[in-house]
Amino acid sequence: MALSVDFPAAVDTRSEIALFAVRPTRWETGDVTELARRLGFVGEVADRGLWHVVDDGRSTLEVYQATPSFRYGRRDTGENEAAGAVEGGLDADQARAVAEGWVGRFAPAGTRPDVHSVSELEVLVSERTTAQPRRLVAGLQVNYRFDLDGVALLGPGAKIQVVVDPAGEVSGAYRFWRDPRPAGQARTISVDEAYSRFAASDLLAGLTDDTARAQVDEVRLGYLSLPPTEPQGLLTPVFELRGVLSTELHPRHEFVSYVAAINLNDVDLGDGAAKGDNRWGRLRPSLVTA
Amino acid sequence: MALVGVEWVRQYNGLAGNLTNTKAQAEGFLNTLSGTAVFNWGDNNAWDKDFEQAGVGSPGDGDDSIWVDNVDFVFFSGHGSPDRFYFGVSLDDSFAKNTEINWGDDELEFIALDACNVLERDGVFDRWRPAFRGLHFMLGFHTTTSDEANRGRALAQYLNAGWTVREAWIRAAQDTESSSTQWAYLRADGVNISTYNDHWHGKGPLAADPDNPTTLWYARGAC
Repeated sequence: MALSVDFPAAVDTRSEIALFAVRPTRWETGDVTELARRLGFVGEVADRGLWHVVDDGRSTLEVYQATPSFRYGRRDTGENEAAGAVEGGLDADQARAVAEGWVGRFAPAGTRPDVHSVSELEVLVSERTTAQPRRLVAGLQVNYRFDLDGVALLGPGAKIQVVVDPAGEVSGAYRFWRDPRPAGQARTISVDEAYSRFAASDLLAGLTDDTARAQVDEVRLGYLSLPPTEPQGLLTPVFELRGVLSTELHPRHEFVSYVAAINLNDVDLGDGAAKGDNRWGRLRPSLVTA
Repeated sequence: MALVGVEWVRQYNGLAGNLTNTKAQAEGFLNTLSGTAVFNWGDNNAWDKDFEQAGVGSPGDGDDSIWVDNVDFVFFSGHGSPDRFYFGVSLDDSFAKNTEINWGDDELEFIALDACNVLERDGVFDRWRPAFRGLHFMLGFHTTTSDEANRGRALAQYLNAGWTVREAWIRAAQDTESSSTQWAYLRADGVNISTYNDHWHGKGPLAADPDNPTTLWYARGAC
């Protein structure tokens, strides 16, 4: 008998959801040099396959050719992780204020990302001759997320991170984004149906109530944005399920699974797609479990 | 020419939840990184003893001198926890524990353990210091991580592009995880040996093996 899964009570969710196709990206050399100039440095643009790269020896800009995404950073000239790091904590409020200035300049036009978290770049140093490791903080990472029409963008491909060093300066940042185009609406499946599809997924195959326990703790609706190097034509509406799976061998496996929130075969991307070509809509990303 | 091996597990045969993208993830690394592919063991052909040292810990039946410690870079994709990582068959007991592992006393310089929590911060030195016998870097995560298909290829692409090993890992993790996930790495220095600026073979400086580490460095941050 298949494994029984404990699910939270099904919450009401919208019966329809807006669809967003992804506009193709095309970076021209001038776009890259202008972005580098705005970031405060100049240099030749090198085509490195997946990226356009500008490197002036002190800073580096990596522009992802597939998406309107980029990463910026000061070159690391230290001898180890302790270079520029400090003992004790850093001022999170100050870091947020510095990050807001950067985000105000470089967030995608028309977006208002929200701070999701502030995390430490933590370094621990253990010398063979000392009993206790030393703890250092190399910077604070201010992490932002996006939403579309109040629905969260999930996954790795839509986020901003600004790193503020102990001196209060931006030492690095990235902006991952996909340019959305409204593409109609689609009916969502019910949360109960999403639960059923998850319960039938490969994650749980071969497990029974005698051998495992599974519970889903959180469910939310979102749009899945893939890594910035990957092609994507539709921001896939998904239910994100977070929970714990336990077996004797692996007593605690905290999982995140994505279940398509619409029937992908029914997607019509509207007037932007070539007539009869709905392949982007039918494509189920590898991150989507069911 | 540098040597590379991968092991991955999708089917856990009822021992744990199955995974979907570990094969693609590990093979993406193997097929992209410049170097010579030596082994690609998956599912029931992926064995814990490939990672373990003969005569170390219990059961003590390791064969790492033939497999994992016979190449320069290994990528594992599957389930993990702070002191071990898991396999779908028992050879010898379905998990490679920290107490059975000595790495780097032969060839191994870098290992990526794409598995949840192996480099969880609390107690990381006590758990993994004994494993460093010449190993330069252990790459992993402080938190859980996604069952995703692209990170192995991304890591290899960044290594091939000339980033340092630690910078390549951080980039690959950021490209493929939400900011709720935290990358981590653990590296070793020796007397007059620093692995901080290690590159992949042929891509930049590569330190000598820190056979008797004087210092271990641990770093983590949000993806």
